[in-house]
Amino acid sequence: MDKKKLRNDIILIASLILVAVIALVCVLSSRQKNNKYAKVYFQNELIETIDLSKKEEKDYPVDAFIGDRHVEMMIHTKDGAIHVSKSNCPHQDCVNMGYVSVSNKPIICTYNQVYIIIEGKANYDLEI
Amino acid sequence: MKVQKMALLGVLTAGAIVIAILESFIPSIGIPGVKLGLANIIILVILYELGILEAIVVNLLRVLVVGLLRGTFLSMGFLMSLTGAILSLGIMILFYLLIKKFSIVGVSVIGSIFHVAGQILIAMLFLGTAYIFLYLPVIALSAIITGIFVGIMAHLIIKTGIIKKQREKYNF
Repeated sequence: MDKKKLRNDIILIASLILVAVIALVCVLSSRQKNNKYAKVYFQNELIETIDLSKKEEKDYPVDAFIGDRHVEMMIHTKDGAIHVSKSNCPHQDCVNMGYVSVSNKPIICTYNQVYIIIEGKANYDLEI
Repeated sequence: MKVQKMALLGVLTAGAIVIAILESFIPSIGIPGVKLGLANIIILVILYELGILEAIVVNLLRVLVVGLLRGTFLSMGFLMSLTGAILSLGIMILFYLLIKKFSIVGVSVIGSIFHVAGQILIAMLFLGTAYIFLYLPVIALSAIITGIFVGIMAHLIIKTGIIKKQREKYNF
């Protein structure tokens, strides 16, 4: 290999690494100020969007009817995680899920036809 | 085409296929289907020693046969390899022909990056999300490292003169 080509190679590789590292830093820094949202669906309709990035402690009641049956749930957020604290369903699976803060773990209550999904730019977990 | 050249190309194609299949046993980082591209060693050697058209044919054949052997023919993984192979060989030919300022290592690195870029493009189209693009910096860094490795390997193979000897012996 002659020296000029070697020098060009080094310039090319160094600049490519530089671009990749800058892009990586951008991606990682956008991950820190991630904007996570919890979306609460009732009968496939979005009824509430909760901003989890604020990390505040708050209660969101769900009050609805399926026919004559009353749906009563209490959704609680704390430290960027979401949790069903109260539900009038028989199995209480949604309550037993505990606090969830990742997007690939939806909270689903089939009896009340409510599901909660976390969405966020950096919190995207790819599973195929 | 001379029979000797045909035989040599057949052997090289088989080598590329074997490398690609062995490589498929290495688990991919992050995204399914994104590979290191070690078969590129053979493609680079063919590009430098035997010609552009031969490199294109061997590369496409490799993707096709590996797809058939692994049972991923026309699946997402197959289309990812195909796009990666076409893009990477395209840019490598461009760098090899038009911009004769880089050695085989530089050509290999740029090809490696376009290989993963092509794969990510198809993954984006298939999964319908742009978030996969966030993986590109990490994968590009690993592609640069493997690109350097592949380039050096191809350089060493060419340096042995094993193909040149055949070419001179049988005059193709």
